[in-house]
Amino acid sequence: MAGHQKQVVHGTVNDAVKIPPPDKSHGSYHWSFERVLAASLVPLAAVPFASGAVSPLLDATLCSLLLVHTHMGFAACITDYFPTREFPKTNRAMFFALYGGTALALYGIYLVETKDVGITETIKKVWTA
Amino acid sequence: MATEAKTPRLKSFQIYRWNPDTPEEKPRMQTYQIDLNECGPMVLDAILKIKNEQDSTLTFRRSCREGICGSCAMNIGGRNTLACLCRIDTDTSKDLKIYPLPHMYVVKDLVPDLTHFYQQYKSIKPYLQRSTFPEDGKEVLQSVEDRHKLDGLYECILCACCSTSCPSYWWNQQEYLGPAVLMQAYRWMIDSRDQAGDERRARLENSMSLYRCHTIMNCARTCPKGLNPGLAIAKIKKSMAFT
Repeated sequence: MAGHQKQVVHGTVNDAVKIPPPDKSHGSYHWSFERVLAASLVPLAAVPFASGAVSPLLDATLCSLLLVHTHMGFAACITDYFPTREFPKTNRAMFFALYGGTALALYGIYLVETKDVGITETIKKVWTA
Repeated sequence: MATEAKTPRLKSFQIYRWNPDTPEEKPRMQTYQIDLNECGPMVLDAILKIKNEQDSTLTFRRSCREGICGSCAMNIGGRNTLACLCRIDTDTSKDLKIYPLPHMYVVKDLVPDLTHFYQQYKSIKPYLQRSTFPEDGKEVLQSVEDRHKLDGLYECILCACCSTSCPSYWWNQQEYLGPAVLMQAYRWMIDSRDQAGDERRARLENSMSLYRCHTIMNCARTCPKGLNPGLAIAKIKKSMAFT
């Protein structure tokens, strides 16, 4: 929290703040990917409702994309609340945990899709149980 | 005079006080009472009256008293706005609380340190950039339609009400440029006379400068000039997407 207590503004009003070197993968590509991902989840989530039948491939796609979507959402939270600028160690630990959790969830999806009935069927069972 | 017969309408103003000369003293709220019959209608009238008649040490910025300079931006009754454009709530049973703009370093009382905000404004190069100018040495012309695109953007007076109402700006103001500065970045991007649009967009290609905006929209809600910085930021994102 040290950064919050030091009331230091570097330079005068005539010194422009430094802007990091441009990197589209953290800028517009990242943003566009997030939007495409979120938009593609809508039809994927609607298909099981509309058709009733669920193809395992479609189900696995929905699961995986949902996982990536969630991962990116959590990553944004970490960047917001634990920026490397102020919490470099916490930031690294958080991302480590996030990647670990995502890997674990991916393995879980693999199990549910191959050994079990798939995520849509699982939700259906839980819903009616 | 008719006013002499009126019963006084005493309203309490609780104002944030902090003095850098006595840094060991914690910030406190000081209450002043004002007879609304003897005071102008706006909050700026009230704090000027306090400074003139009750406590000359009360410190705040003010200049134009008509919402065009942006000096008197402060947090009044929980909302960032200009004291000169904010009417005093005439309900005398309620106290009015006045704080400096939130999450900024305080210079004294209601005066926030806006140095970093101005440094961010400078970083977007808020001026016309062109490689060529007209042969005849006259002004760069613009069609009426192109001029209309600047409406809703050029009116910004950089009072910092929007930026200091933005949670993203509270958490990451060292790196996130904030709604006011980003709206001005957009104002220069869509100016038909400007030729540096690609460089302007390229400077925002990182995770912090632009993309910390999560469309919370406090900026549009609080803007004392009725502008919509959130929309301008969305348009920047759109213009940079899929390119």
